[in-house]
Amino acid sequence: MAAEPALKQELDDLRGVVARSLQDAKAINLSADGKFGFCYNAARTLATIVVRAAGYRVKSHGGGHYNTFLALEAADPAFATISAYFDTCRVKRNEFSYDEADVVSEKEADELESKTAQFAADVKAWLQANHPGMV
Amino acid sequence: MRKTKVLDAIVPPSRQRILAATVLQPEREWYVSDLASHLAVRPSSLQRDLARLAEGGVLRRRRDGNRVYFKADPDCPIFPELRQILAKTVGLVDVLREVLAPFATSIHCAFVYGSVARLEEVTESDVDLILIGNVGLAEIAAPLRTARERLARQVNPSVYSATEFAKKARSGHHFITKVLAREKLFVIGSEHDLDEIIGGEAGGGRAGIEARAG
Repeated sequence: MAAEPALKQELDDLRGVVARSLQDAKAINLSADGKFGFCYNAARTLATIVVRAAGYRVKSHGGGHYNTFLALEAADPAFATISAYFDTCRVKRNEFSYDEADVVSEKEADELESKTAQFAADVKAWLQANHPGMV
Repeated sequence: MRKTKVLDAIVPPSRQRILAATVLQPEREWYVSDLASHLAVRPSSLQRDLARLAEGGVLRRRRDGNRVYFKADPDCPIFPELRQILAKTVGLVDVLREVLAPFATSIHCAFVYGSVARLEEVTESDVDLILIGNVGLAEIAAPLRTARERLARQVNPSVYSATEFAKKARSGHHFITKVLAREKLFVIGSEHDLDEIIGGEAGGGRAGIEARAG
């Protein structure tokens, strides 16, 4: 991870990725794996928003996703619990992406969708409180 | 990557479960028949291993009338190391049970499957865990992180509602069918509980599901 100030435009672009991912997750007849994948992508992007707003950039190679959630927790310890959850989701996402299909349950996919939506609201509140110029 | 079963290289399989029951619960004293019942074996099959472990100072032996009791000896010079080895291998179920204890009333059934359940684990094997009930991944993520640190293994949970698990089991979902047909290490609940979740023979039953798995 390297120190690097963020620009609001960058965060606006990332917010666009989040919105698209959450919208795609609502597609009809989408598999639980697919829904989980879109929501995970949104969650990771939201974590990136927090890390970037805090003035850091995680290296994209060599465990970028893992390091993003570690950096989220470092940016604010209040995110430690959700960070642990998203890291669990990271491992599951790797499993269905590379090893085996249909390993995500409907319960897990629905939970991630709900938690990601809540996290989006929490990130917005965090930015307003800590980095209002980035909202 | 080594293909040898880790604990088999160090401890004979016949003693592994004895050690897990004793060394990982050092405060507990076992009457031989109780230990045999716990391990689902005949008492006579434990005699030799118990004697060797007592002679070696790993277990303490106490006679009370006609009864003989065994418990771990914490004064054994390698007790801490042995405990750590067991916790990471055959003792993992107890570690998982402990971290999931706060959620026990919300979990109908939980079991380890995959290479670890088949005792085919190698040094880098993850612990694959299925939980069926009213608990979510978000709730158990932090406790399972604790388990990961204690076991020095990645723990990969999959959470299902009882309804979804039963539906997928009955419909022949390939992943669930495969899991049901293979070895399991129960953390919460038992085969009986799993049978109740899936339903009786009229609902497709365990026998039918496992037959389809071939």
